[in-house]
Amino acid sequence: MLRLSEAIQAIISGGPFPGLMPRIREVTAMHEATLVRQIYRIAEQSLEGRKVKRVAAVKISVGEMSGALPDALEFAFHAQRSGIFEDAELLIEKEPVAVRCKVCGEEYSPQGFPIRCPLCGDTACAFIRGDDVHVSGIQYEKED
Amino acid sequence: MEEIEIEKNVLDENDGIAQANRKLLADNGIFAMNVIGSPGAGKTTLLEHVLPKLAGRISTAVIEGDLYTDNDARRIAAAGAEVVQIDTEGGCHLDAGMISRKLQNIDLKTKDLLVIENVGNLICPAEFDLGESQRLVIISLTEGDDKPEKYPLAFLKADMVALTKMDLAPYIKADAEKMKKQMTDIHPGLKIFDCSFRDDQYDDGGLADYILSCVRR
Repeated sequence: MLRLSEAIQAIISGGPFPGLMPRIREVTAMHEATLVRQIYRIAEQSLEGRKVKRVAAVKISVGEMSGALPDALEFAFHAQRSGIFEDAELLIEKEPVAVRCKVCGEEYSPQGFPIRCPLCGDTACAFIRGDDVHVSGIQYEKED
Repeated sequence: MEEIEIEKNVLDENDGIAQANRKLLADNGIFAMNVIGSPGAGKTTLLEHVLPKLAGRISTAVIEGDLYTDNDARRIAAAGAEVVQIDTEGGCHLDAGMISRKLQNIDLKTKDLLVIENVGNLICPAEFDLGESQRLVIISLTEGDDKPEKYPLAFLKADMVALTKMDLAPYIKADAEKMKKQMTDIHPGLKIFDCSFRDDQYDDGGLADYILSCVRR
């Protein structure tokens, strides 16, 4: 039996909480709900001026170091469906991390921490990919 | 079926507002600090102890993110700082828009330092730029010495870390050096301050002086 105080704690922390149902983990990962609101807003703006009967899918790319959980995004997306998005699916592509070495310019995919350039060995780097969530496409049916 | 291709970051809107906040703060010569940490890490306790050290030397405003209560805001006000509260009503993080609205309620011209105490949470707030100059992550020794590598994003995006409750080291198993190694593996060169705050003991590891040096830069 889950105690209320534990559930609230899980909601606030949003973190891994042994013994909690995965469902609660999804419900509580609320920053994904914020991200999903933006996903809908971006999709609506991108479809402006087009005659749309229904949206079949919104495609997003979720970086491995974005801090967002794909399952939680999908849950939040379904929870917020309405209008032309009523039966839309969220197609999620996971994006691996890529960085550029700030010293020698080498582009590489780090394998865990510390992130270290395979060429020159330096740890200073800038993210090129894999640290964000972005909308990459929309599939829709035109109005007849 | 029609398909359109786009390439738009979901945090673009937040990041745009954050940049505007950053410019507004810079134009007023304010150093802004976004304070992030788990519930119970000691965010409010740290501010209660550090802010009085700064009082009289600089003028500070604090934006308090709290879920439902104004307990933290009352504690900070008692420490002598001007406090503006954001009640997130269960929201797990602050975003740049919330800060933008609250900045209108603060007399920026008379302030040197803005402290934003984020909602207690080490995951969600890490993703949201508020327009801060630097980000301070607070983690306590009692959270366990496996935590930095469990929440890498928080440390990757931090500029400085306060490792709190160091006075409890003799009584618990957690290894402070192991935690620091994880943090600097994630973020080489990260500034880490060892802190203990109790009524009979004040040790900020140099944090207050460092904040002062940032404010006066």
